[in-house]
Amino acid sequence: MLDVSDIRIDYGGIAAVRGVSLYVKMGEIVTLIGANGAGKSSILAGICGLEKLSGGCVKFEGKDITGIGAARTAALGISLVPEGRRIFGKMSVLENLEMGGYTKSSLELKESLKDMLEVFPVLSERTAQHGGTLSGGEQQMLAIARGLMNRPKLLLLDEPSLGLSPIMEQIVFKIIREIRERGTTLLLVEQNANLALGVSDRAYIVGNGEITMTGKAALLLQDVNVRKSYLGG
Amino acid sequence: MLMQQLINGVTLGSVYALIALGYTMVYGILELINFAHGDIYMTGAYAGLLVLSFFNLQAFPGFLIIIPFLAVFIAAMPACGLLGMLIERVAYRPLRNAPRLAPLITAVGVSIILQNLVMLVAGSDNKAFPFIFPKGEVALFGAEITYIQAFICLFSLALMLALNLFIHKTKTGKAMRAVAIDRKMAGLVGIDVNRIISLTFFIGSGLAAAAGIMVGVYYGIINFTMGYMAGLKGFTAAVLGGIGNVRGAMAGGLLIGILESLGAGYISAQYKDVFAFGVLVIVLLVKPGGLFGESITANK
Repeated sequence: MLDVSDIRIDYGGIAAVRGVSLYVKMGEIVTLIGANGAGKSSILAGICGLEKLSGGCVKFEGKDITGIGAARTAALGISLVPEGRRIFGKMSVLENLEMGGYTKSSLELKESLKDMLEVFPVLSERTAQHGGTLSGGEQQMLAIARGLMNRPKLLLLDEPSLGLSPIMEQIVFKIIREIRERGTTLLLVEQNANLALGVSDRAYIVGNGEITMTGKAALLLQDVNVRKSYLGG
Repeated sequence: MLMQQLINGVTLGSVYALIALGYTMVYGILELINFAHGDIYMTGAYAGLLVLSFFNLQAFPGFLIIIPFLAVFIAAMPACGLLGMLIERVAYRPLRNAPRLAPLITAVGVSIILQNLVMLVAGSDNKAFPFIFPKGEVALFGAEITYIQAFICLFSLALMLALNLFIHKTKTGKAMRAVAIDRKMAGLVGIDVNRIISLTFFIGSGLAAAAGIMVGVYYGIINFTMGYMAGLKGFTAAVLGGIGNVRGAMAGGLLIGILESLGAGYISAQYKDVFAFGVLVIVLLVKPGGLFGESITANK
């Protein structure tokens, strides 16, 4: 479904991503784990067209989407739920969701909206409230729901558990499983490697802008070196 | 006397509010003070005069004068809207990622270019703007409001209500607010950010053109430098209301207009500009984010 080959991203001459290749198959949950600053978020930004690539190419469903920009990538069915959620703070919850489905017809938008309010009951109680007034966990729900409004085939989730309480983390990961069951493929960046590997099929370990290791999530969970570096022993 | 000054003030303030909207909308989206905005207002007045030159005004006696009057708005507002879009495209977009000082200086340059272009084409002397509105006045609370004053107030109000509806009720208008809040995120959900920015310039410039035409008809005289002071007043109104805040710009414009009229009427007409700018200084000292703005330390 997604084929990333040898992408590179520079920030003013400093290489953040240096030749990363990865793939995601339909129906999978794939996780990128790695230390802060390893380049995980940059990889996601490169895939969805938010950051310009200085090399390499991104293919989605066999189509070359390199350099077509974030708006067109979204229209093709890739949504990014960015790190820090980036809710439109001064817009209502409902408006945030509407913006998520911006590329859709008003009929599809209505259906997605109904769906999302069912999946996220906590949002349905607060449709008129400004997004910025929600709690952190609620904002994360809203960010994910907004990403799903676009009915993406592939959802990119950047650090969905960052800054959440352990209970909220569990809820978010339960939702991630549900999203997959509803037929959306997921590519995840996560610092809570234990939780992330628990739900994933495969994972890539990113270090210093490169893929240092890859494999089945269940096997990586067992790997001694991975446990030492990312899972707290 | 008080009532009369208030009527004059609201008339003037409506014009300032229309200009302020362009400043505040562009600032909200690009964090750019578009110093060429006052000159778009001036260009609007000249564009209106140009449209009028195609009409034989003698052929529209009495109330029929409303026909060329409306034609001026219908032609000049979109024309100036397109001019604003063009300016953004050639002067500001290439500098989108440059340090913020660069587009600011460019805006001053665009302002000088517009003024000189209009001067070259139309001449540097004052131009008479024919009075193309039914003459007359009605009594209002013991004062008099002329038809043109009533029109300026009501038409400005209608434009502002329409803008308010647009940005809160339509998909494109909501997208405009989304771009203002977080441009990158707006792109991520599939909003064509460049299109929205173009549209913002189109609307802001169209509103400024409407203001320019109304001032032309109201005062009967226009000049290629008229955008300077009006632009400053509009900018003051936008800052007063909290720059980036659309409703604040509307309120700020009215407030400046009323203060200016009261100051001119009760204290001294020669110092009328002092009142507007004096209030700005005081408000910025007490509430740096403007009357309806956030505290400047808060994130958007």
